[in-house]
Amino acid sequence: MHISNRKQFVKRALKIIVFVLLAVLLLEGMSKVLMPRSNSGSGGMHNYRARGFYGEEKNSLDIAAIGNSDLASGFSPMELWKSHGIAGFACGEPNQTIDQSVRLLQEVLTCQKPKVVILETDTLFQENMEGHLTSLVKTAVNYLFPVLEYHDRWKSVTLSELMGKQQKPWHDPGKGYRYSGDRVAYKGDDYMAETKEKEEIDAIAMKSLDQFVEICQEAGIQVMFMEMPSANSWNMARHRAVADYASSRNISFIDFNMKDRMKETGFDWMTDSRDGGNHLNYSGAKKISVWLGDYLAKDYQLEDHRKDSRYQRWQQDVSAYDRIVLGVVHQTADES
Amino acid sequence: MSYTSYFYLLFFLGALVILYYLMPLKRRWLVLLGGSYFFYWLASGKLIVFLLITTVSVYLGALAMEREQKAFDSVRKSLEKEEKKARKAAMMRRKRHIVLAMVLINVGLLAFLKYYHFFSANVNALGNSLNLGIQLPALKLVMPLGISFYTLSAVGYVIDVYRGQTAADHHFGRLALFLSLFTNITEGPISRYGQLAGQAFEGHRVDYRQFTFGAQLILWGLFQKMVLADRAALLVSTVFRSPSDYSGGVVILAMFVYTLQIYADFAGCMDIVRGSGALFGIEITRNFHQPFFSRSIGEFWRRWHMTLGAWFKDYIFYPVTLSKTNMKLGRWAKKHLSPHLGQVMPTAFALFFVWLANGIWHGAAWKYVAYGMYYYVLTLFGLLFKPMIFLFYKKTGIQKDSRPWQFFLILRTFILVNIGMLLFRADSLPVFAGMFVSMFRKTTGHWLELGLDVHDLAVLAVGALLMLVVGILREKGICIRERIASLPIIWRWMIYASAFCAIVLLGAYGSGYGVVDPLYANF
Repeated sequence: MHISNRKQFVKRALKIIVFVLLAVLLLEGMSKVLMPRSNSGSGGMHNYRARGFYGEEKNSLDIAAIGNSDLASGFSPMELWKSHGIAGFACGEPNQTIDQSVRLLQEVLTCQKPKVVILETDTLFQENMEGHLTSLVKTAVNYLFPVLEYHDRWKSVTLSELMGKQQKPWHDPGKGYRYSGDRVAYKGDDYMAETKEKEEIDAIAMKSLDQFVEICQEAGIQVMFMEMPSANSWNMARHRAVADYASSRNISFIDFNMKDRMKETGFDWMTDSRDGGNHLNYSGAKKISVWLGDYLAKDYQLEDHRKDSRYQRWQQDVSAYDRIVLGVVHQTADES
Repeated sequence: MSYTSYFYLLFFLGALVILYYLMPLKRRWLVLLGGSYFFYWLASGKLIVFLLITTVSVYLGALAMEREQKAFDSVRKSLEKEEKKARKAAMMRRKRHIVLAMVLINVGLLAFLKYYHFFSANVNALGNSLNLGIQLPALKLVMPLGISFYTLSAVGYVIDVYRGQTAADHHFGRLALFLSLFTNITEGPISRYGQLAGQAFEGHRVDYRQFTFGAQLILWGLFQKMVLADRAALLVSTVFRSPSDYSGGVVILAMFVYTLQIYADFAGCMDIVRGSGALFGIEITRNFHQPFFSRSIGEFWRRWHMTLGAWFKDYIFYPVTLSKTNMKLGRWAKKHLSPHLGQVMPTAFALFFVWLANGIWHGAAWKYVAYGMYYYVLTLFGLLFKPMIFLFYKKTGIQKDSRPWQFFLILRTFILVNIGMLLFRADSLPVFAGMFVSMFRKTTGHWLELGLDVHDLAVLAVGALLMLVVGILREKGICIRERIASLPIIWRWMIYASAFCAIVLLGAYGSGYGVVDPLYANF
């Protein structure tokens, strides 16, 4: 290459690099401006209910459960508290993919140090229009530059938010649980019929699962897999895939879709679903959560905090929660 | 993989550009071919086999035709006139059989996968109503990505070889790259072998100017697709989901916004793929040329989805026009009807097949047939009444080139195209009829309850205005990218940074907005 050509090449390459850096700075700047200042729905946080743990006292949770909407509808941590004094939180996002589970786990660990992390395994098979690879990239980029997730907040951002003023975190007495009293029975086939087939976990989803488990192990947290009753998204081939992985890594796997487990919990598809087999209603969530409380208290020796002064707020939350599940008040976004 | 996804823009395109320019010049096509097949496999998985069938079949078919031609050429000089004629006729017959087989295999595959449901549903309905006892089975068929586009490119290639306009390609990789190039595979443009194969195969050195122009074109394409088309989609889907709930101004608004959506979507994606091609030094054919400045329907279709129109012109219109039957029809009409009809009838006969093909190419439903026929009738109207239009200008003294009259013609074409778009988007013909009539009724439905808030509507209006300004400047022959390139660096970079921020902030993506697949990828 001729000297002047080389100079021109270096100059142009530098220009491109500087422009890329400028783009990164712009993304960073816009992210700082538009990132919600609170974990509440009115503060602009997406999937705010899954992020209610920001409103809990630091390092106060025993259990963090991570998963999709099946988890948010089927696991009520307050039932564990009421029966065993275990402080848990349901971090359930609609249509969560396993790479999003990893990111949410990392968020939880910024302010909590749970003893047990439960993964709702439906996320491994979450159908994504764009496939696991593009979903992985999308999740990573969104976390790197939150403006890509919150760009629409230009419509509602206030001056005080622009000045960077932090708001008081939203406190959720439901602990991530999404209440529903609706009842629509599932009357379909036996979706857990015996089969020798095993559904393969996608290779990219598997990498994210490994990462999820490793993060927990490195932090000294016990991992547990759980599958909520779900007639529309679960089957025996998926159970086998998760069970094999769990046994190879020595991880407990509770599948509430298995017949013997259903018998133990008393779960009934005629009375315990809110939408005909996809999500649970309160009746179903209570059965699952009570059984889970007994299991966790027994097998994981979790401390009863009910007499612990540090958990005084939880006792107050019980009455707020009861008002919701008794139908006295509606569950709203920003209860404090 | 969507052209607007992070994966495509940040990783796929980025990695491919780096690999391409790291590869020795002569091997750079391998990066494009590998990237294109990876792109296709990500989108379609095992259905990649259909792309391979098409590629292998036209590769072998073209070589077979070339063998026939060469065998004849090697002996032609030694032959007597009569024998030469007979041997040539036999060679042409064999070539015709080959090209026919290629067309049948590839168009047959497309027809089967795309139209079987439509065909079987109609046959079964007819069989039931006439008690014929015919019942075609329901089949689970999936359409491979871009089959409507690459099939036309492949068929165009074998016909060109048959006609002797293109030499058969002996390099399988070059042909495979031509048919699978990731920029064209999803929704065109429908590339021609002569225009694309050579330049895609040839290794290109980094051309800074072309590279930066390509990046700018991608930005403009992203703006059109993400800020305008995907935002407009919310309003359009709200109204078209329950059309009976709306009437009057709301239906008119939805019709115009749908036209904006489909244009910004398709033209935006075309700009992204043309910009992507430019990053590799490849010039992808233009598919749009400011179509909404057209003064007639004919001009509109020469400016809208240009490569489809050009394909129909070369492979349907001309062969039918020049066919013996059609020539006879023209002579008959001239003799028995009038000299004007003698000119019009052969054109009208050929145009019928063009518009029928145009309609059904867009989809397997009667509404698409009606869509093609709508434009056929409009075109026919223009042809038949040409002498009267001429007389009209003469009698009224209207200056055809005067600005107000030109504006009127543009407006007229715009309205006719919008009615066509309403037919195109409506779920069925009765729905279209209902919506069309409802436009003339009192307005029901509120413009702020159509899926877009006041901020979104403002963005849509300003964005549409920006597209209009860009269109006017292009019509005046001003190259906006050239103009920007001539500005001092500080201004240039401010423009680029503003465009980048506008796409990031105003794009209708992520939470609250659905993922809108490129509209033409489904055709």
